[in-house]
Amino acid sequence: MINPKSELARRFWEEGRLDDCPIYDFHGHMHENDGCFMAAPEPEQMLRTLQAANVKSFIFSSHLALHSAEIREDANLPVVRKFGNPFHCYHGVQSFAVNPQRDIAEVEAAPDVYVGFKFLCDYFEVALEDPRHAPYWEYLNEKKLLALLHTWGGSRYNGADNVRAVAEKYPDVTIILGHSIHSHWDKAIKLAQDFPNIYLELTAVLDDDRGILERFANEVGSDRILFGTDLPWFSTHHAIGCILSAEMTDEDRHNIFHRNGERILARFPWAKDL
Amino acid sequence: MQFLDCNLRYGTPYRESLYPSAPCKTLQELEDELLRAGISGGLVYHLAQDCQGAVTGNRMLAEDLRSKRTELKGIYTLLPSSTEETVKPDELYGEMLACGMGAVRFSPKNHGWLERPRVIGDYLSVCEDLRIPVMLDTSCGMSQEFAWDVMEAFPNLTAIIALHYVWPLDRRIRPFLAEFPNTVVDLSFCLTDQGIGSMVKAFGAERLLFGTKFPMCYTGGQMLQLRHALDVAEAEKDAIAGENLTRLWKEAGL
Repeated sequence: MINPKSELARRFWEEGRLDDCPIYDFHGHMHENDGCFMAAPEPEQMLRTLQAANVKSFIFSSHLALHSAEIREDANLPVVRKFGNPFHCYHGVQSFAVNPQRDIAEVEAAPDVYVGFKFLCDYFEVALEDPRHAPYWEYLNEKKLLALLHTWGGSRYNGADNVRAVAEKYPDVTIILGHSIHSHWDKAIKLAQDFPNIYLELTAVLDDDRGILERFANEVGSDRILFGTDLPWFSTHHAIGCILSAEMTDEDRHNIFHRNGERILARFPWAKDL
Repeated sequence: MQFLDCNLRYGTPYRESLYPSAPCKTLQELEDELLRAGISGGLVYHLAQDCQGAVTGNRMLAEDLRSKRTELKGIYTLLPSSTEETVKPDELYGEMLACGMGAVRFSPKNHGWLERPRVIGDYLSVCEDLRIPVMLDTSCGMSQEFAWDVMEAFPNLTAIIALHYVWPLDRRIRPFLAEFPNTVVDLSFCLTDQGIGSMVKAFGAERLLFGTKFPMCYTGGQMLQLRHALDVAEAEKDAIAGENLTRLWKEAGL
């Protein structure tokens, strides 16, 4: 079923989860969202999905941490503290009410929880390279941490030109292009070719344009592609199944499912316990 | 588990927005991909039905289906009967049987007619009476508002609701299931995590159809999601995968 050329496809079809092919999901959320229905948005519910697919690492930023000035990191940190693995998180950057001194101190105080920051610039209508974001980028660059960016083709705030501006200035940040500049695929590929610290992330890439994943693998390399789902938005098994359908080797799929994630997270002491 | 995909397409469009990055130009290519994936057949339309004209596209689809190797049935595209271009409403059923069709579709934005149910009311009336499945697909030439208006005007229509929306669409699609008893949902764009189990609990497995919109989308995504869906019994998965579509065809005698 799915792809007779793939042994991984055969095994995922039969078993749903593989011990020797865990999943590292670099683009997650949690809790209620203002714009759409979530069937299973609470951490206890999400754990069922994560366990069913053997998601070994799930890095998220709660919708409430991103959107709610009142709740903020109370929607992120306690979840990681309570549940532990596979949960870790990106501290939300609330561009509408930035407080870098406070936010950086919170990340510094919880190195077992945070991997970096999540930028959601379209939503807040503040560009990635806006001076208000500079202290975050400088901190990420100094500490060699991760930045997950919501990116979208044609955006004035987190389009390809905005990403290029920060990538040129902050070469030591691991920049994850959430949605891979969705629909402006040529620009995403060029960015990844130009900047070795940029990774292409697959949320919403797999949903409506078959063939783009193969272009990413052929023109950039499967070692620069990260698995992501926006969970609880999109089904983990759906994303896995798309990658199993694609024209690529099982070695490419291992890179995307877990090897790239293992390499990127090796900088964190807690990664050895995943 | 036998898969029948309720939303397939092939052909060479001239409009970029209809053009998948990895298209299937012929029915043979499409069937090769289905057989590779383990999908037995389903409902298919020819992109020529929108890009070259409904009459030409219907003819091309019917000709291609004569040499099919899988359990495929076509989706017949209709225009307002007042221009007398497509088959007369009272001859629709016979034409569909003769041409190997399993559903009908409308594409008002592509074909230049007003999105009002009365414009195609004679066809809809026949379909409602004969339980002919009507595909209401907003990815190809139809607004969601029109799909809703059609159902309000013909609430007992057997309709496959196929909404196209990149983000979770439950708030858009579930009202159709709640309001109109003979609607079923094409799962092509229903990607919400644990969404299948949630919809089965709310409306029953008989209201859901496996679909992928291939070749726009990968077939493996929906296949694996359904195979390992939480809170869905094996019999319910079988129904969603293919039995429900077979039931619709049987009810219509197609």
